Amino acid sequence: MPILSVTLQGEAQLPGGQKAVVPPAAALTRAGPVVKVSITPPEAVTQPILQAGGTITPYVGLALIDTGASSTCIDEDVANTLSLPVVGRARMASATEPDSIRNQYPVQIEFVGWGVKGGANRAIGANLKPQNLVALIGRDLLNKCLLVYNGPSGSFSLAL
Amino acid sequence: MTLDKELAFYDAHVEEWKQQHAGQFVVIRGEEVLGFFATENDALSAGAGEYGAVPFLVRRVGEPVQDVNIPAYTLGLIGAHP
Repeated sequence: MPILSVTLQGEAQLPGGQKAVVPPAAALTRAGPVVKVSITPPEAVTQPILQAGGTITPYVGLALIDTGASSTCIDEDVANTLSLPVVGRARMASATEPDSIRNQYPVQIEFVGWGVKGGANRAIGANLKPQNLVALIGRDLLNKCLLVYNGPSGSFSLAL
Repeated sequence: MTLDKELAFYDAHVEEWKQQHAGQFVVIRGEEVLGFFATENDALSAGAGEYGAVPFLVRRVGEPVQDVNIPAYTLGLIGAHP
């Protein structure tokens, strides 16, 4: 069973400009379970493009594992950069604002350093750039995984 | 928004397509229908083969809009700290 183990390392800037190491437990509390991912279109999209001599450049960035999210999300700018086709629409419910209609994109998300790809899931387009995130990993991907969140050690593990 | 034209075209024609293509995946670019396909992968592959790495629309004919809940995002709580 492939396992991805992540221990967060943090650095904070002190008022005097010096940097201080943040303990893993505090870094995990602050950042949440974030993991580096590589996003590409699914193989059904990439194969014809590669066969025609085109190139596909993966988009690499941080994704937050969000057990509260029913669906995986990707940043809209990432979707546009990768020229992902829109394959559906979803209604995003909100407790504080009217529901919004969002695009759904087919994506392949690879957890960097794990070698496991989450294939051809539909991801919801969202504005995640302000959070320095490219994706939220939702329960539609996590339903294939075992997730262990170890707060005291500042680490988490995903097993497939 | 990306693919507004394609989505408007889909909305304008979905009722007529439901007669013969319900459950199939339609590929649209602009106001051109590339075809109807049995699987999403077939539709994606056909669209990418025809148009390359540009946005195009793939929709399952008649599929309702899916409801999703992403409370941390909708409440603006991602990255919030006490």
